Amino acid sequence: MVNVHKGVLVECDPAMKQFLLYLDEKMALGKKFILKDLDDTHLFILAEVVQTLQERVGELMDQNSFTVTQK
Amino acid sequence: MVGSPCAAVSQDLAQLLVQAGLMKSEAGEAPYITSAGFQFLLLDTASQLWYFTLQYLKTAQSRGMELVEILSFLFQLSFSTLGRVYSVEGMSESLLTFLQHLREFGLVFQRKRKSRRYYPTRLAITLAAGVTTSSSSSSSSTLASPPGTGDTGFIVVETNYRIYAYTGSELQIALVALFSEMLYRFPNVVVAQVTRESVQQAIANGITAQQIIHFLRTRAHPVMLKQTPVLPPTITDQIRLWELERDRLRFSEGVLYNQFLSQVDFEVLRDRAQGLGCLVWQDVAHRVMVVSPQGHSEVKRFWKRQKSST
Repeated sequence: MVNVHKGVLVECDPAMKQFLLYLDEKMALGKKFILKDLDDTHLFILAEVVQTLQERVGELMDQNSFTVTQK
Repeated sequence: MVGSPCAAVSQDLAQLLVQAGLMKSEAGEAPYITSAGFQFLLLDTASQLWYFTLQYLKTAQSRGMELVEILSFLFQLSFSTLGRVYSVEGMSESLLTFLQHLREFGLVFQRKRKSRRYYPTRLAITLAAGVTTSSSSSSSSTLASPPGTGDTGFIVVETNYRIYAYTGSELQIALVALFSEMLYRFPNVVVAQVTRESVQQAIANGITAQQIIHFLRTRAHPVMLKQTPVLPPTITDQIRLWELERDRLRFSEGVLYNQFLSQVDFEVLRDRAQGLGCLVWQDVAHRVMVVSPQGHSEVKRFWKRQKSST
């Protein structure tokens, strides 16, 4: 029997994948969204969370950046 | 048309901007610039002129104008002499409308709308000279400033992310402000700073990092041109990195197939998907594959047929 899921394939670096796994585990989006953990750089996720995920990644990047310049 | 803070443009021109996809207007709202419009702003003058002219010619016929007539006038214009006066005598009605449009684009100068004389501007004459292919490299072709623009070579970029733009032109200042944060403004120079937020804002507007770098490089001050590379590598690298930061996740919609009973089943279906060109990803060891949504129905049909035949 073959199983079929609709969703979105995510390709990313391993560090980013760990962040997504973390979000999934902590239920940060209110639910589990990873359908299948494929390999180090690929995940298969629910289509509806793509927008929210991008925002979360943006937030993470904002937290990780500091201003390199001074006025 | 450019550089004036309260530029009122005619209906035709506004329509052209919308048709060219540079601006968008929703009913009852002020028109706003699209991402294509932002990219257009950062092009060099010759490319802008040609892009705009081509768009104009594309829509000319729907405006009830004769394309051949317009084109021949355009070529005639590019052979005329700067500073000489030309008469509108003997021009047809549609050609006169065209002349008014050219006046609005800044290709010809007429003192008054009803004036019987016109002067071609530098822009009109360089139109036929074509676009000098200035690639992103700092070759000498980019250094040759197109005549008549007069505002090439006014930007100094420092390694501390500061931009000094020696210009009084409202347009140039607005262009610099597209991707930087304004700090100070003086009569002949503005000081701006490239920050992560400002660059990401620009990228969200649809400008690419490459375009920002190209803009800075082609307008670099003569002092900057003496050094190689022209722009400090820290700045160009950082702008590119800021862009890449946004693309750490790549999404592609698809349908996942897993839990195949045998390796043979998997390989048959995978080869079929591959043949259709819709295989996005596969893992042979775990018998998992992802197919694009377009190919899903075809692959599913194939699988049903395959199952019933065995």
